[in-house]
Amino acid sequence: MTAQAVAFGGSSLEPAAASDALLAVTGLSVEYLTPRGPARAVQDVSFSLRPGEILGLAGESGCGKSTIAHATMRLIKDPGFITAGSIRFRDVEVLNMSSGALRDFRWRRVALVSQSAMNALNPVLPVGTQIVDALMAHERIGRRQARRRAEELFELVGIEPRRLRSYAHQLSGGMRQRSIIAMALALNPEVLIMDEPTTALDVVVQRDILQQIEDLQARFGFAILFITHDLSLLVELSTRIAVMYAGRLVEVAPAEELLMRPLHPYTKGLMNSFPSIDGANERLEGIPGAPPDLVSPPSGCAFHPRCPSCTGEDRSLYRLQTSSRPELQEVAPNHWVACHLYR
Amino acid sequence: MAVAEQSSVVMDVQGLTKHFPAGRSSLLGGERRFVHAVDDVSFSLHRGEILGLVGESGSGKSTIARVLSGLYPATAGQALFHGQDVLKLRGRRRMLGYRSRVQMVFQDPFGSLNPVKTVAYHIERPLLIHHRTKRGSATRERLYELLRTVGLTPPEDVAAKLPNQLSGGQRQRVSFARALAVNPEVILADEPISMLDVSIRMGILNLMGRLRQEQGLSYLYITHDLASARYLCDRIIVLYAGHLMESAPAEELMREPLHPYTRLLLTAVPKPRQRQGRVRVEARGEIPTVVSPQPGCRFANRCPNVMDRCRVETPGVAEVRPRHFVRCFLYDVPSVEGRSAPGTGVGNG
Repeated sequence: MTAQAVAFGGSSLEPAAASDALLAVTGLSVEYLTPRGPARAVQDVSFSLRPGEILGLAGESGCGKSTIAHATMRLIKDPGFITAGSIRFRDVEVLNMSSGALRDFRWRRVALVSQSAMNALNPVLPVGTQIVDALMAHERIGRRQARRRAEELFELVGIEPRRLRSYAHQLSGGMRQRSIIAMALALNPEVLIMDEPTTALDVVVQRDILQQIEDLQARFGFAILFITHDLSLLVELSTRIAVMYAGRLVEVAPAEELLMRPLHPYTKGLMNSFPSIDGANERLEGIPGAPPDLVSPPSGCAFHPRCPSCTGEDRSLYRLQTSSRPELQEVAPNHWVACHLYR
Repeated sequence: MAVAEQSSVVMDVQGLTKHFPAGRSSLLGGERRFVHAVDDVSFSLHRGEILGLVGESGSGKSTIARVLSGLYPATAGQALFHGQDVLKLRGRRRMLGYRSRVQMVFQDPFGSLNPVKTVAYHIERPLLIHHRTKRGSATRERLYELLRTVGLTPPEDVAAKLPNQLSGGQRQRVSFARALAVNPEVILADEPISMLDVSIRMGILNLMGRLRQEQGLSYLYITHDLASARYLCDRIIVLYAGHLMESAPAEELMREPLHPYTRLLLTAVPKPRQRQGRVRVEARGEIPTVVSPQPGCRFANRCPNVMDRCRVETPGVAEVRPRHFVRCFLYDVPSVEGRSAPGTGVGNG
């Protein structure tokens, strides 16, 4: 994995090319046009999602993680553009899909649950009506059948079916997010993309919903791309974790491995940013500085201005860190890292 | 309740209660109804102490901070700051005097700074207002000193910047510099890190800890995040639906939580170090909004240990171990008379 990045496709085929992948993203780049120039929100990102897997995507706000979710659903809108890359679902290129194919792809194949969805429910219609209408628009079923399906879905996510008659404002935040999850599951999707699904919720409700997601996943076997800033949550939940910084993947590893042996200095810094309620109450330092501006990111490795390993003591290493971008490399089985320390 | 006999008590809060009007029970008159945001909360804050107020949204934690800072009038109770009840302060001069000793830092560093004013403006303003100094080299020097204290260097450069030229963490440091400008004894910090990027949160918590060490500041640290409260605080108070449920030294609360609600909270927090052997959370439901409360424990409907008594009597708060207070009938606590806390005088009669 030493090939240089090329305009399309990219080089660092992380675990992507895996043949059993449900969803394979390769060399994805997305830009947003801003008055100051293009913001490179996602650059040359490759990953794959396998059947039944929970892949965690961790990163801070502005690192491009939600853009990946939107790009995968082909929801990027002007002034945002997918400038390079490929997104294949079961070997069909999503970026080439016709609007008809896209209609079948979205929701039926891949469903999205986002943080803001719970606030996007129509306030003047009962939630049940919204679910029934959506079901009837996508499936050839009658209203009564759709109604029955909606009741099943509500039971599935732990809401009493009579709540279908409620309006959004009559439901708590937790129940609104559950009804969004119920809608996402309505057509038995193979992939669920969850973008900060529990961030706005209180900790007990969050835990309850996460348990529910795990149960449903075990029962129906869909794969999940779970996106959050909360690495401590991902470590518990995910099969594998991808860590993102300034639009790029900097480390990908099985969750257990990432917890025990984080390699990238950014991942280590993140691990050092979450106080815990168990174990010793050690001093944590977080990471100095602030996440970079994606319009004019730092040269070389985008993390180098904040990196504790970028000291300049080793001149040739320093030159690399500040001028050359590290590629993702597999440094241990299934453990990928983009860092000059692991050349 | 909490140990108030020591002389190092800076603020002593007793029976703090805040009800918000919630309309009437029917369109044609009916009884006036009130949301019981905070009911009968008592605690004391000592010099150099960091006291955590922890709860979910709707627990009343932010309301307490707002009442103590004078943003809301209290419904009942008292808050003695060096012996003077600050809930009864009237008049601009007295309020100014209090605010020069008790400052507040808010959650949103984007909303709490004026976008068209420089950093220097924000920090010099309290100097000019409270110390009645004139703009000049002394004020400048103090401004630079404050910026250095909160880790914003070089101060000459930072002072000239506008808020949108700073990162979220830097803005929150400006908020702390502004609070420190008047040499306060107490800072009421309401979720100061929850809107910041995760990698810079520890920097702000460590800054708070350092200011306590260097300047003997006391904090009321208000948060929904038990882990950060444990990291920073000496003692933690757990609130639920406006009631104090438990209060204990931070480490003891983590090790030996007594209240079923505290246990639920601790179980729900992500524990990355224990990927295996996680305990399932079984308590369903969410925190209620308390309007015209009936007698009974406010957590009873979700409590795994609920007893018949919990639904008809309201448990009081008692010190069941040294410095460890709890409001739960599983322990030897008294029952509260009537349907709401003493001194509230409001209910649905």
